[in-house]
Amino acid sequence: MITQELLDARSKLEERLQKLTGGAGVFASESDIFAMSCGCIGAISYIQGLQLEDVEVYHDELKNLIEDFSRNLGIFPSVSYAQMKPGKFDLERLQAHDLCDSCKKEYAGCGGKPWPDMILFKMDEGGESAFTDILRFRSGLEELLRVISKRPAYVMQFNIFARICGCVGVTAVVRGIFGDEIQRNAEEIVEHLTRTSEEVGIEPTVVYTTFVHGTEAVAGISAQATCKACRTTYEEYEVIPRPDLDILYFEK
Amino acid sequence: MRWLSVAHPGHMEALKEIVEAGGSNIYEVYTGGSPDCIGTARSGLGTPTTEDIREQVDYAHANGIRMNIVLNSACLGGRHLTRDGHNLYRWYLKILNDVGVDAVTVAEPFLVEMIAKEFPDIAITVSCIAFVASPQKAIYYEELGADTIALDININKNFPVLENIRDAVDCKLKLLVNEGCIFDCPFRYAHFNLLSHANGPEPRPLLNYEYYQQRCASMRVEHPELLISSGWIRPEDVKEYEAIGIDIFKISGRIQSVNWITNCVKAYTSREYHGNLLELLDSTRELRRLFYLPNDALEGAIEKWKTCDKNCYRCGYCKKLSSEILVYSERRTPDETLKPLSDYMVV
Ligand SMILES: [Zn+2]
Ligand SMILES: [Zn+2]
Repeated sequence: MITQELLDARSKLEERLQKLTGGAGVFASESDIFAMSCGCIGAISYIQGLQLEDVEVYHDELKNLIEDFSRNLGIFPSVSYAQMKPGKFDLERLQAHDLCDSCKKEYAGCGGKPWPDMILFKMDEGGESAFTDILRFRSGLEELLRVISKRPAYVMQFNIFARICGCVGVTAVVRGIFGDEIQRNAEEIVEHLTRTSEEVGIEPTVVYTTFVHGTEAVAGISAQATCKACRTTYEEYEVIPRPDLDILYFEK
Repeated sequence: MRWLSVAHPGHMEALKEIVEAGGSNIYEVYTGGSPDCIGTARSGLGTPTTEDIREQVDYAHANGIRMNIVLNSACLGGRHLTRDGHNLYRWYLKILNDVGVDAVTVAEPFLVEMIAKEFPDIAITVSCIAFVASPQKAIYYEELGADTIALDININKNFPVLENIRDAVDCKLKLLVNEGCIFDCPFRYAHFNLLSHANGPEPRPLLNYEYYQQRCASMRVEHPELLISSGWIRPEDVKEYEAIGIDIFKISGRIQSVNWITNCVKAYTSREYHGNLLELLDSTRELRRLFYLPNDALEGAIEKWKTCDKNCYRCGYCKKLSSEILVYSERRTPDETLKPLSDYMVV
């Protein structure tokens, strides 16, 4: 199942990174496969402990690392790059995309520097990705939210994630849907996300929405199989609720 | 006549592509200054060094283009009124002056007056974040020392006010053409204030949430007509503004990709565009993969807006036009389609 592959790929990438840089303080805190509303799909690894100079020194190795990572998950990248933290010299993530046609135009040109703080490893035609189901997961949830809200609700991005703690899950960044609409249809949404999760090998223990801070506007919807430590955190939210989080389902 | 002011992300490669795309239409390029000094209300990605700026100023000048550095923080936190702060700004402006920067864009009246007095060689643009929306306010800023005023985008479709401001002042007037912000947006002041701190000197707030951005995107999904009543100016309609004496037209988008910026430059220099208008708009970036607003369907609407009294609650013209909006569905799956907005909601 893709989620197990993602978990394995995250630890393998982390291991290779640590061996490469000799740094015990280098981590891949989270790895994701994503689909965006434009049609781009890709793979991400969030990295801690590397700076711009490391990216320059290990340029070719990091390129191979993220591209292997992506290909092993069935996504054949047409672009790969290192993204720095905004305004900083710390590496935020390594990323590889199978680009949609309109993003292809945006990433092209400008001597490989479409944005000033991105270090582009490569840009080419890529290949035919083997794992494209995630596009269907994104639009499937979007259509459900549109029916529920009676407006063109929007799933900007849909991710499958695997974290260093062991948590795995699916999460959607959404716009144009509100808490009461989710509440009225909680059962249907939980069922839909559970089904999607199972397709990728996840049995969610918690399903929740997050809000645009201080409002009823929903910012994200997630289904997650929590690790032990994170499970305790969600249990605590039942006692002291987090104001921007609404739990739709919690396995007892 | 050079008439375009173009967003520049800050690296030399970008500048070269922008110059190539816009050629002799470009009056100036503008880019962010050092966040550690004054800051800016827009987030910029790479920060150029003094040497970078010098090299780019030379390149721009060789192509007949001016360099404008944006220092338009909406909130200076009182630093400007301390002796140390004033000296810091003086030191930084002297560097910009020495490397040949032609102009700076500021939002704070104090900076307008101080720069006019201490750096007579630097031309001053008053930022649209100073929200100049009346003849009287334009006169105040001109008297403080403004050479150019970028007007509040809320009056972009208000021709009587634009004409009165043109009558009232002699300085150059600039309009932002491609910002998709909500008309009379309730978040505008607070959002710019937040961004000024987030992109300004330390201490910067470590935000968990971007309330304004996320909230306004949700509002537009709820009320797609807000995409239409917004203050953007179509490439085809620029001539209407030239006819009333607007001098410079500003293309926004410092955080967009270079190809995105040059695509906008090409649309505005050719004065025509036949695609999704949202592809040209900054600040609605996240919605252009949701909605398709056909630019061709908006042909002629400018005639209505010229005389519109901006009472949206009883007018309904933009809401009616929103039936032209299409919605992307099932992206990059075998069922991908563009559906009319009315398939999803009552229009
Ligand atoms: Zn894309
Ligand atoms: Zn966990």
